[in-house]
Amino acid sequence: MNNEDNRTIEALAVWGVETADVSARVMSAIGASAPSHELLVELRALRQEMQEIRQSNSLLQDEIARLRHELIGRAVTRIAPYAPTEGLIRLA
Amino acid sequence: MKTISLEESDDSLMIRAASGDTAAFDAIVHRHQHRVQRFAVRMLGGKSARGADVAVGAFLRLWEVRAAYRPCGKLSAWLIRTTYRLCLDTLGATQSAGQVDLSALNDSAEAPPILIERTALASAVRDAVMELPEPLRAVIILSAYEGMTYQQISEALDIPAGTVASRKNHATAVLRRRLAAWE
Repeated sequence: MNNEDNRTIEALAVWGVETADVSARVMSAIGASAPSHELLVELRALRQEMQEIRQSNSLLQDEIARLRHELIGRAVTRIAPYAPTEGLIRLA
Repeated sequence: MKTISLEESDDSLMIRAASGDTAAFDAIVHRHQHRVQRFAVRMLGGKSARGADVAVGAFLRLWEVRAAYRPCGKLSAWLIRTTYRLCLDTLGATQSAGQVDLSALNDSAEAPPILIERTALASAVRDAVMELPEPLRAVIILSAYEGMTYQQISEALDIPAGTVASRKNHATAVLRRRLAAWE
């Protein structure tokens, strides 16, 4: 292997990856340990968070529907060059 | 419960695990989990969560076959080989489902220039490694990142050592061309 190859291999080191401790998952899966209390508490918190996100999402959907209805319901204004300016909206 | 020595061999732990000693199996998981995960995460293009899932899958497979496992001093190779196969399954499923990788979307607005450059280089390296076909990718990851010898890679991937050498040379040449702009 030449120097260029060695430099290429060395350059690869900049890509780091993260790992986690999966031993609890493995031991739980083989029935060696019950899911800990902390995990259950975290699960409940996540469920609560998901519920809140769903509610926020629902409010946002309602607001989008209201705005869309408001825009569609507004009287049509003609925007064309050299046309009479009557009825046009002046931008501040 | 019997105590576990840090020096206790994989084979000895597997013999105990085969008889139902979950503490011995836990010791095996602790000993090998990070290498297995690093390999899986890189094979999958840096996806940490999916790499962890694959690692868990590999250890569960080992637990399933514990009774049939033959102690021969090559547990590490068995785990890497199993992880490689699980990665291929995962990659196949992902490609067929047409999933999009969002992990590359890093928020680097506040990062200093050197960090941005390093992040960009890391992304370029990841992309270059991911463009390699899986057999070449596995060899370069095990060699360059895990520091495994040709013989160890040969045992892990169940291919001749000469094939390992040629795949590594091929992969290195491809990566050198892809990363030439960064030199």
